[in-house]
Parts: sequence; C-alpha cells; structure tokens
Amino acid sequence: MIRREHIMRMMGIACLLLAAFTGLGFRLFQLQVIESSDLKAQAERNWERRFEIPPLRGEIRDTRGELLARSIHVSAVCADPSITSEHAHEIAMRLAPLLQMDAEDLLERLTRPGKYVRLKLRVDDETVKAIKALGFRGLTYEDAFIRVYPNNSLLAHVLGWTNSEQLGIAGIELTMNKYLSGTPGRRVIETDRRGRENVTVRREEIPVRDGDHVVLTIDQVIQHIVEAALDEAVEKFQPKGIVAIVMRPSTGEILAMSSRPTFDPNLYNRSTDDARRNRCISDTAEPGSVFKVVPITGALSDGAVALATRFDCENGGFRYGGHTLRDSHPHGVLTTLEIVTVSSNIGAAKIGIALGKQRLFEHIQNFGFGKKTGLLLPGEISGISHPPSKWSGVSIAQIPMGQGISATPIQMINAFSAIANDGVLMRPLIVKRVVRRDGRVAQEFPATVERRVVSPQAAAQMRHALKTVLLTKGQTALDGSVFATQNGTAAKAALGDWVVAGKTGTAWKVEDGKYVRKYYSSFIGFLPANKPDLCILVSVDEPQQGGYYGGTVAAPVFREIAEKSARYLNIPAIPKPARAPASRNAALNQPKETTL
Amino acid sequence: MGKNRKRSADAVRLRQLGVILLLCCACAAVGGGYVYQKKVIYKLGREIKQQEVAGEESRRRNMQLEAQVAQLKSPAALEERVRAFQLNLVPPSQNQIIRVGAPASAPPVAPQRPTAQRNTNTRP
Repeated sequence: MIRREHIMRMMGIACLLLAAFTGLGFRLFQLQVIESSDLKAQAERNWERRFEIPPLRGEIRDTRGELLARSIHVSAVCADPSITSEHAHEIAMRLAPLLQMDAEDLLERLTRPGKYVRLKLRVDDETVKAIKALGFRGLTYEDAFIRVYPNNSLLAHVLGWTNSEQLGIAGIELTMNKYLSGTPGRRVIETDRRGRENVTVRREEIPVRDGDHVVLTIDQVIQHIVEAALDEAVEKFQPKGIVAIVMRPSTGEILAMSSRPTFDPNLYNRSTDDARRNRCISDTAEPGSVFKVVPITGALSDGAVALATRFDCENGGFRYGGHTLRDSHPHGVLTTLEIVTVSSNIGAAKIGIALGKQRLFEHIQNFGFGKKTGLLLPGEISGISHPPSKWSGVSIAQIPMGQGISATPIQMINAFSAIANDGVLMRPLIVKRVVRRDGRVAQEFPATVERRVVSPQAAAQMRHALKTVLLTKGQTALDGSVFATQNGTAAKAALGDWVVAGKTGTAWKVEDGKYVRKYYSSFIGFLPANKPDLCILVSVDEPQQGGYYGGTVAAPVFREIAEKSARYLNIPAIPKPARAPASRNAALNQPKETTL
Repeated sequence: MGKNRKRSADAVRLRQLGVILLLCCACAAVGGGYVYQKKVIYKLGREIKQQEVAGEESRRRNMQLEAQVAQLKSPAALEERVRAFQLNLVPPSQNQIIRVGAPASAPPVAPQRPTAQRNTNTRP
C-alpha cells in the first residue's frame, strides 16, 4: 500500500523537478528566443570573418601591346611600438640594411608613442620573408597594391597617376578609371580557435572582378624618339617648355605626345604642378605663322584665291585699320604659294581680307578652333576664338597671321592633319580599345570623322605649297613635284629620303595685354607630303639660347623626330631614280592671275 | 538431467547482447567514419588554403616579373644596353633597303577544251 507519506514525498520531488525544468525551460527560452539574435551575433563575431577583396587595377598598354602601367602587390612592414620599443635598438640595426633605411629613422619610428606605425610601404616578398625569419615580436605585415610605370617618365603626362587607394587622379588613369578600377569581391569565412580559415565552409563568396586593360594608340618607340629629341632640345635651347605630338592624319590616332618639363609618375608627389601639366592640351598660345594655313586653305577652298594669285606685299609695311602690319623681311609681289613659302604676314592678311570676316571665322570654327577636340584626356581647354562681332578693325588682318587667336597644340596639329587628310577633320584618338581579362574586347574606340573642312583640291594645293617651305630658292623637291622660287623658312626640317610639307611659326608672347619679346616657336609638318602617314608638331616656349625662329628652333627637332619615326614605321622613301628636277611652271597654278 | 543451454533464458539474452553489440559497433563505425571524413575534409581545406596562398604568391611574383620585363624592354633600357655593349648599331640607309612589291595578279585564264586539231596532232 502506498502510504500518504510516500505520496507526499513523490509530490515534493515532482514539484522540485517541475520547478527545475520550468527554470531550465525559461532559461532555454531566454537563450533561444529572447537573446537569440544577440548571442548569435556574438558567436558569429567569434568565428566569422568578412573581408573585401580589392580588385587588381587594369593595365595600360601601347598600340603594340607593350606595358606602360600596371599594379603590383607589395607588402608594408608595420610595427606596434608598445611591443617593439623594448628591443627597438636591436630591431632597427637588423632591419635597416634589409629595408634600406636609415637605422636612426627606424629607431625613431619603433619608439613612437602609440600602437601602430608603418615602417616601409614598398617591400618585396623576399625581404618580408627575411624579416619574418628574424622572429621579432611586434612586427606586422600588410598587403597593398602599388601602381608601377616601368618606363618611368616616358608618356607621364598622358598616363597620369593614381593615389594610394589606386584611384586615377590624372591622365588616362583618370579618364579611363571606370574601366581600369574593376569591382571588389567579398568573402565571409569561418575560422578556428587559432584564427585559421576553415576553407570548406566559406559562407559567402562574391568573386572579385579585376579591372579591364586599356590599349592606347601611342607607340612606345615613337614616344621614346620624341622624348629623346625633346630632351636634346631642352639642353640646346633652354626653353621654358616644349611640346611635341605625332599624329596619324588618316585616323586621328596620336602616336606620341610629350611635353617638357616632365615628371616620373612613380614618384608623382615629388614633382611640381608645372612639371605635371600636359602642355599639349592645357596650354594655349597665339600660334603665329603656322596658323596661316587655315585662312589660306579656306580661301583656296572657297575659290577666293588660287596658288598663282598675286598679292602686293607692300615691301614689308602695310597700313590697315590704324595699325601697320610688318613682314620679317620686305617682299614685293608674291603669289599665294610664295606667301606660304616665305610666310608673309602682309600676304596672309590680304588673303584674310579677301576671304571676308564671316567666312574667315567660319573656316576657323570648322578647323576646330575655340572648341575642345574631345580627346580622352582631362584638362583640355578650348582656346580662344572670338566671333566677328568682337573683332577690332585690324582683327581681319591680324588673325590670318596667327595673332588675336589662341590655340592649343592639339588643336593646331589636328587642323594640319585635316589638310594632310584631304580636308577631312578627324577626332583625335588616344585610346584604341578596352580589353577584358579574358582577352575579349569590351569597347572599341574607332576613328571618327568630325567633318569635311575644305575641299580635297584645296587641301592638295596647300600640301603642294607647304613643300616649298622646306626648300631654298631654286631647289626642287625630292620627287620633282615643286620648284622653290623663294627661300623657304624651314630648310632645317627637310629630310634626305622623304618629301616633307610643313609650316613654321614664330609668335610673340602676350603679357599683360601687350606683345613682349618672348617667343613661341613652332613647326608643324607631315610626311610623305603627297600621301601623309605622319603629322608632327613641335612647339618651343621661350627658347633662351640658340635662336628663336620656328625654322631654327623647332624645325631641327621636327627633323629628328620625323626621320627616326619614318625609318621605324618603314615609310617608303622616295626612290632615287625618281628624283628628277621639275620645271619652274610646275610649281604654280596656271589659271587666275590677279594682283590684290 | 542436463540443462538445454540453447533453449534456456540465458541463451536468449546472449543473442540480444550480440545484436546490441552489433548495433553499438555500427554506431561506433558510423561515428568513426564521420570523424574521419571530417578530418579528411579539414585536411583538404588546409591543403586548399595552402595552394591558394601559393597560387597568390606566384601571381604576385609573376606581376613583379612582368613589370621588370617591361622595364628591361623599354626603349631607353635597350638603348642603354646597346651603348654598353658598344655594338655600334646604326639603322640601314634607305638605299640599302630593297622593297619587293607584290606581283601583279595575272588575269584569270578560262579553262580550254581540248580541240579536235590537238587530238589529231597526237601520235599514235
């Protein structure tokens, strides 16, 4: 028989168990339901690690696939001074030769107050291994990307540079940043007690997409030819600045672009703003006589003049609009062709007057002056080209001489390229294509025709006239196509194996609204003259020694660049037997002989 | 009289014990297998990680070497080496270059039928 006492005891135990289980259940409810999210997060913090995988920035290559810029992985050696200060002297002495740093500097860093100090950023893997082998406590290693430009200062102004976060700051690095930068990946992992990753339970993985590669129209070898020529010119003429551009007229592709002073993008923070400025697109100047080809070709295209049209050049002094226009040497009556040959200011002014204000302005606009060319580089400026309503009385005579207008070197070479390209203006091109990592082309940048600016006949006539600029009186062009009746201004630009056409320019600079005796000397030319493959611009800003005329300063630099580039590109030279003298009449257009 | 062991209650318990032992062994085997599998997975995970690290190191090294090759191939570096070796290399002059033009394509010749006259010329 179960006694009442037993029942009471069982009831007591049951109550105790019930209370215990109720408490346990409540605690379980508290842990699993009420505090669940907090505890889960706390647990995840213990074993879950989430980190972003930075993308590798794309490469920049030249038109032949040569590497111009790429990112590489480096390590940074860091220290916790609260740990390292104890043995700072020993650590500094051992690390100094490995890191190629001053031991005193290292000692100062290792004993700084705080818990973090970076000792050196660009440390290669071998050095890191050697430092790790020393076994010092308190040293840590961080991974980082750095941008490397293997050619140092070559093409610096075009390439630009990136900041420490691998973001493009200038040049192609900036304009093509969206292609180059890529997309970061993300990974969530579990770690064990020692912090080691448990690879089999990667919880989330968004793969990184490395940046695309950018292929430029630049040819590294031609760029080197240009830069070597500029360095030589800087030494010889000691100018304030100098620029050179090489362009392919038929496509608008830029094969080389450089300016001096320059800088090394690997060490961009050690250079000045002046050295980092791309003068080819961000500097304007009154172009001077090189600009004469614009109104004269326009006048030829409109039929306002012909190559044989005669102009009285007033023996060097022409009074117009209350001003006296002067030539560097007095000339009498000259044909349009001879005006180009001797670069007569008065002749060009009279052609401008014959063309008329409105047509002159339209031709200037058509050739692309006063507007950005649309080149894929940051910092391009549009230059100044005022409308006729803002012109003074003498503007119509001054502008055809290259005064009262300002243009960038890229605008000037583009205008010349239009003449070389049978009168068709192309958009300057510096990026050829964007290529994905797997080799597929992501985007092509094809040659783009802007517009026809002059008739093909007018362009051919101007090319014909520009050949005489490189000849001396009585000399015949290599191909026998033209005979010079006057001394050209750029005999120093002539080549022995190719017929070159070009124009010199020597402009006075303007300071505080007045012309001063400082010069901007230029030469723009193309070769082979009849079917140009290359158009080359050289502009020298304020040459200090060795002359100041475009034909003296810029023409020899042009010659250096043109000869080496033509050889490198294997442009066919004029065959020797074909070099026959031309008759004097071949140089002139027969119809329409009027004296203006 | 001897006791029939096969039919005794003890014999039945022995069979049950055998079954239980078998079940226990099976459970232990499954458990052991699970642990072994986990160990293998963990080991493979470690190996994968090591391979990933080694791959990443090779990739880094490759990047550095490519940059180094580009530096050595740069026109400035090549010119420097040519100067150092004193090879006295000069580009050929234009009259040393012979350009061979593509042969002018001959007009296509229509296939001719063998004529009777030709046949008569053939010797027997």
